Amino acid sequence: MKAIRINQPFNESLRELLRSLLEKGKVGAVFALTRIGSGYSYTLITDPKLLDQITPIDPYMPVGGGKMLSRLTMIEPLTQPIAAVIRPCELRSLYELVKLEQANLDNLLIISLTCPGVRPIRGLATDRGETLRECCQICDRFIPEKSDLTLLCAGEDGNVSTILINTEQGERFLEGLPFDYVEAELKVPEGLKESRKKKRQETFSRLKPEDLGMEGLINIFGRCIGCHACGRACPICYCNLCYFDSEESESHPKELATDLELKGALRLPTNTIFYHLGRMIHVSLSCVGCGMCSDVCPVEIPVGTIFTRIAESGQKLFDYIPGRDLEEKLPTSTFKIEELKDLGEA
Amino acid sequence: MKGKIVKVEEINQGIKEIILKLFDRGIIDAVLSPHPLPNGESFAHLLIKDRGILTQTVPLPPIMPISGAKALRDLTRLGKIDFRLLAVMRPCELRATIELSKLNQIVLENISFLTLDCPGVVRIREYLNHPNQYARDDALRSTCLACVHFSFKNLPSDLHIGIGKGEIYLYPQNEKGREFLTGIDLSPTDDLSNWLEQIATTEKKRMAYREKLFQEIRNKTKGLEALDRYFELCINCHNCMRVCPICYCRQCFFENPDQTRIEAGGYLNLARKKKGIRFPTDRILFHLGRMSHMALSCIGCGNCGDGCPMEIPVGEIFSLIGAETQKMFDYQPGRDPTEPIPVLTYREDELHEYEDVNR
Repeated sequence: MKAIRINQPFNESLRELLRSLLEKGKVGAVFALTRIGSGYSYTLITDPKLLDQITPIDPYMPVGGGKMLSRLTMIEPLTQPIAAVIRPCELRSLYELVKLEQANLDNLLIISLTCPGVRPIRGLATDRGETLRECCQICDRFIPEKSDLTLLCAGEDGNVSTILINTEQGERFLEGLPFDYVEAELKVPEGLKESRKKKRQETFSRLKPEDLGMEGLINIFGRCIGCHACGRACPICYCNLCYFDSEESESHPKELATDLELKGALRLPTNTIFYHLGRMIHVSLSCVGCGMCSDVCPVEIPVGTIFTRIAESGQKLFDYIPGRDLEEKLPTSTFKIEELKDLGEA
Repeated sequence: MKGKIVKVEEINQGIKEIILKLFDRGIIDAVLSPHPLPNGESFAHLLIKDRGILTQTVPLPPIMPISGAKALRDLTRLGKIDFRLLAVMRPCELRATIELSKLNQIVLENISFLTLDCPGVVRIREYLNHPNQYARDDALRSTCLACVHFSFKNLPSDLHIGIGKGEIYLYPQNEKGREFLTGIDLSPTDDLSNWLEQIATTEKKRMAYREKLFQEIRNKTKGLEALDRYFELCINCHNCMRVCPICYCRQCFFENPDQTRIEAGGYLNLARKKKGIRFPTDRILFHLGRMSHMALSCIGCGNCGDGCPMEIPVGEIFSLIGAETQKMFDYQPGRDPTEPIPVLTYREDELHEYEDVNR
C-alpha cells in the first residue's frame, strides 16, 4: 500500500502534512485537536502558523469529533475542502451521523489513526494518571474504517511516522506534495486486538447487564442526577430537544398524585431509569463505544461500558457494525417482513 | 425569640420524628424529602405518602445530588397539586423554589415548607468515591463554606428547624408554622438565644470565608483573558446549566440550532477572520450568557460546580456575580415570594451610575 513517511514524531508529522496541505491551497482549513492552556478543544484553523499548536495525537477527547463535524456540515456541505484528524470511533460516529442525515462528507479529507485510546478527560482536572477510558481499554475496533489517510500510531515507537494512503481522494490531495513515498502495510501491534477483546469479555462478565433486571438497573443508574450530560455528549444522540427534556415527557400533577397513591412514594424528578432505557433503545444500534458518556457523567456511572455491552447484542442481532460502511443501512431504517422470528412468541 | 427546643440523639432521626408526627396527625398528606437509595450509595428526592417509607427518609443527607427545587418543579410545572405537601428543604433549595415560582415554573399552592439549618454539603464525587471519609471541612462545597444564608433569616418557610449539639430548635416562621407546632402538641415557649448565638458564630466564620473566596475569584477573573483561563478546561457540555435549579429553559438558547448554528461557509469565514476558532464555538459566551440570564436569581447553591465534569469552580464565580448584581438592585433571591425579580420590573429612573460617562 502506498504511504508517506515522515522522520518525525506523530504530532510533528501531522503538523507538517497539514501545513503542506494548507499552504499549497489543497485545503482551506484544518480541523484537529488542540491543547489550549491546560485544556483541550477541537479547532478549525486557517492560518498555517497556528498549526504549530495542534496536538491531534494527544490522548484526550473533549468532545466527539464526529459530532463536531456534523455541526460544521449540518446546514450545508463544505464549500471548500478541509482536512480533519479524528479517531476511529469518531469517524464511525460521523458515518452514522451521515446515515442519519446530520452530516455531510463532501470536501472532507479524513485523516485517522490506529488508535491507542484516550484518557478520561477529567484527568486533566484531577491528575488522575494515565489509565485509558474503560471504553478504550475494551475497544477492538481501533483501526479506522475507510479513512483517506491513516497514521500508524498504536504500538509504534513514535520516532518515525507512516501515513497510509487508503483512497483515491487521499492520493489526489497529496499529489505534488514533497513527501517520501514508500510502500507500507496496515500494521497493528501483535496481540492488541486479542488483549482488548479479552478485557472486553472480562469487563462485560463483571457487569453482567443481561442479568440486571430492574433492581440491577436501579443499582447502577440510581445515583444518576438526571442531568442528561451523557446524551448531550453522545455523538449519536443528535436530537435538538431530547424527548426526555420535552413537554411530552412531563406529567400533570394529577397523574403523579395517582402514581403516588399506587406506589406510596415517587422519585422526583421522574424518569431517571426510563431516560437511560429510552436513550439505549434510540442509540444503541449506532453506538460506537467511544465512552464520551462515561467521561462527562458527574457521578461517574460507567454509562459507556453498559451502553457498549447492550449495543454489542443489538448490533450482533442485525449483523450491523455502526460506521463500518456508509452503504450499510441502519437496521431501524430498513423493513423486512421476515426477520427476528426467534425473538417472537414461542 | 421563642421556639421549641427538642433533645435528640441523632439529628436526622429527630427531624424525622417531627415530620412523622405532622404526618400521623393528618396535618400533611405527603412529604418531599431526600431519601437514601436502595444500595445506600447516594440520595434522591422522594415524594412520600407511605408511612413505612417515610420512616426510612433522611431529611438532611451529607450531599445534595439535585436541588429540591428541581424535584418540586417536576411535580408542579403543569399545575398545582391538590394534596397537602410538606417539602423538606435546605435554605438554598427553598430560595431556588421561590425564584422558580416567580418564573412560573412552580405552583406553591398547597405546599408547606420545612427548612433546616444547613451545615453545607459534601461535593458529590468526594462522597461517592470516599463514602467513609467525607466528614471533613475540605470535602464541602466551597460555595457552602461561603454561604451566609444557611439558617432561618429572610427565608419564607413555614417551620424552620435549627441544629445544635444534641438538640434541635423548632422555630415557626409564620402562623402556619405555629399551627404545625401546636398540632403536634409542642408550644413555642423556649428561649432560643443559645441557637441565635451559634448562628452568629457560624455566620461570622462563613462571612470571612466568603470575602476571602470572592476576592480570590475577582483576582482570577479580571478581564477576558483571565476569564478565558478560568474556564480553560470547559468542554462545552453545558452541564452547569442542566443542574442549575434556576436555569429552567426547556431548550437553552445556546443549544438551539436555529440560534447558534451557521453554515459551513460561515464557520470557515469566522475561522479565516480569526485565523482559527475553537470547535464548538461560544464557550465563554455561553457562561456569560447564562450569567446574565440567571445571576439575579442565583442562590449560590454550587450545584453547577458539582455537575461540572471538569471540576471548574463554576459555582464560585456565579455566586460572586450573583451577589454583586443582586446588591445593585437590593434584591435577594428567594427572600420573599412577592418581591418581583428585577428583570421583570421596569423603572424609568434607575442605575444612572452605570451609564457610560464618556458619552
